[in-house]
Amino acid sequence: MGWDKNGRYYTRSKRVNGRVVREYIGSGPVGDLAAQMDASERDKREAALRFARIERERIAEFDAPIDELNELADLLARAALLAAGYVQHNRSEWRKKRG
Amino acid sequence: MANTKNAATKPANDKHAEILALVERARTGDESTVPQIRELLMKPGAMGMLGGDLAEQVFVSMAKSMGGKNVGFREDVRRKLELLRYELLGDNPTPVERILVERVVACWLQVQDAELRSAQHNDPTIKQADFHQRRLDATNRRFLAAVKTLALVRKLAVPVLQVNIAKKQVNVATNAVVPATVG
Repeated sequence: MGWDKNGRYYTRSKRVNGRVVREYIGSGPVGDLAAQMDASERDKREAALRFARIERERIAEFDAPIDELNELADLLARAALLAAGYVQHNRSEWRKKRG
Repeated sequence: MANTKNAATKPANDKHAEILALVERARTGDESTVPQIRELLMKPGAMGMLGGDLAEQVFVSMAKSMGGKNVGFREDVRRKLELLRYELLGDNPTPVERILVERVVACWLQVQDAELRSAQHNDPTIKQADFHQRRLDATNRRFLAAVKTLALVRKLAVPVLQVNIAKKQVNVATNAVVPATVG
């Protein structure tokens, strides 16, 4: 997307059947309007990406202590079961130790 | 502030490493670790230091992320969590059960957060929708695993650990050792 090299025509590039095709939109006010619309669309997309990134960071911040708690709880559960005389078979079932 | 937090988490990290080492030794068949593990698991102080702060951290983080400055919402969630915790703890929970219940409560909250975030997007991109769906699936899986572990520990380990403590119980009035009635 942008003005051609002479700055006369506003163009948009798109992919058709795997090939890049340049579409000539127009010059003068028509080209200006198309350029403004594209810029606005681009800003909107960038803002959405920024928002998604911020949200993912917030989620990661929210999940971090829960992950830590999960790890700790698993460790303690394993310790409790081992201390009670159980052993884990094939990383799934807990069975009473023989003898 | 950061230094205070670091200072507070250091003993918890040391304890974490200590338990990890003990569990590893027990897993490889070192019988001498069993009394140590039993003693550690029945210490409310040690368990509180390990998990108590984490549970509060989860709540604070959730309140900030889900409710923003909405105090009413925050207090509603706090009340709901208290009720859930109360229902799950039951009578005389062991310190290990307390941590496992905290985990179940935290995971439940995480599922609610994932559902809320997923529903809040009116017009998500495919990538965003996929991200939220995957998070929802993962949180649900973790929640179910947390409930399963709590049930497993209650069924298999807690009776043994409680009997072990009962054997050591001393009746102060008569200064006599109370024999265990089970096992």
